[in-house]
Amino acid sequence: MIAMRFHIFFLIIVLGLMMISCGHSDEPVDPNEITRVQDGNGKVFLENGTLVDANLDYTQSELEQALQQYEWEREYCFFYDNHNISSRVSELRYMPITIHTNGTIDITDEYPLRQREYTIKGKILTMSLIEDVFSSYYELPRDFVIVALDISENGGRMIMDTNLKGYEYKNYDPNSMSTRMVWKAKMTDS
Amino acid sequence: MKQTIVILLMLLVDIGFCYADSITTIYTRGGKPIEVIIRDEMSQEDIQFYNAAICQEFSEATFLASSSRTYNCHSYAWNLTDGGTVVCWINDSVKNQQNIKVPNLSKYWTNDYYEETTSNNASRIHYYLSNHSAVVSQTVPGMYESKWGKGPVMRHAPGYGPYDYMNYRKYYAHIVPTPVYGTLQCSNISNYIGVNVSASYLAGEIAYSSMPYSNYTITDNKGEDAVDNGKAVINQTYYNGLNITFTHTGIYEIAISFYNQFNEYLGDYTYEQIVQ
Repeated sequence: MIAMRFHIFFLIIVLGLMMISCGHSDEPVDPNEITRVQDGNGKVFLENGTLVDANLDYTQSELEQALQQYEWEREYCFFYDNHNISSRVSELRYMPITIHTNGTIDITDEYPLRQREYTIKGKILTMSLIEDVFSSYYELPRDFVIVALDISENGGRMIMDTNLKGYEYKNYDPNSMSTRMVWKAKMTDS
Repeated sequence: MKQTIVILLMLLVDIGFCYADSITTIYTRGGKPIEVIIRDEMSQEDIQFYNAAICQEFSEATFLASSSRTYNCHSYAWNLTDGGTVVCWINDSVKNQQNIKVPNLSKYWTNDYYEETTSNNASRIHYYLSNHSAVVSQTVPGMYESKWGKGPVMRHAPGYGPYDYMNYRKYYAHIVPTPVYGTLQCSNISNYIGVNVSASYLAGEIAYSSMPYSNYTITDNKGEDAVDNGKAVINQTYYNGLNITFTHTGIYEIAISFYNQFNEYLGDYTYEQIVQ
């Protein structure tokens, strides 16, 4: 009984706060408080904030299977931070451009002899350099979040994010800078 | 072919390991930041495997130190054999905040402690088409010592090793400056200067890209410090001299000793000033 009274009391407080907040709706909006559209409810945001249907609830095994069955090519990409979403950008250096069925990844603008491979853990794809013992070059592994995966009979689409903290792009916030890459599946010859 | 098989075997050794590596910054002697990677060490089994395989494959080189993934050739040549205390991996280039690759390693010899020289005078070598670095051996004349990737440190002939294009080399050394001695140039062209008249005393020839620093003394005819006893006032100091006002008549000796950023003596400049 006491618990029920508390719930009613809590509900009244919440409704009261909602009414008060509605009363302030005519105040100017702080641009810093505007947040970009978010993923969820079966949709993901793409360039310029366009929401599209996508499968966010894939499993690790579905992802692994998709990567083993299809060659993946990056179709396009764009930047976003906590407040902005860009249009498609033409250039994204040193980022994956092709994911092969043999588990290797090609990146753009790179010395062709350097090979990279990936591992999957949940929804995280980690790209690592395949290190030649004599090479004087090394890079830290990089994580990519597979936001959505849609597979159909004719191919598929994958949405992949990675953090670009510190990256400078227009007036975007370097601390919350990310890129979203849209990938297209290609049927292999076999 | 043999080398390819060795490399393939070596690739297999690392599979299954997960390392926690991180990025940090070290500095050249000239104070330039170098982005480096701190890496976990391999297992003892891996180390021994690489040591044995590489010694067998490159029998004309001499094993000096064990394989390690914590440092590479660049770090060995430019950091660890030069007094560096941070065991780290140095890439020749790094990405900046616009995601563009910028030079990292070449900071060591670009307006810094090292400069390009001839093979005879070199202490360090950059194999510029092989992305490799070495030091000149202090124990065996004509030989170089370098770390081969995450493999061992080896002593080897200049053109011998696992890399292509090993004949394309640039040579570097630190050139100790030869001291110079001269007369300061006074902005007052007369031999005499009046009391309470300021003048600049500059060593015109001391012109280094990196700012030198100096110690100065101004003594009166009794050999006493003229600044301490109030007979001279330093109005301004420059990288190559001073601006001074003398408040008492007399004969003064101005002496400035110059040093570079590496605390090396560059020379002395003096001037005798008569104040009337």
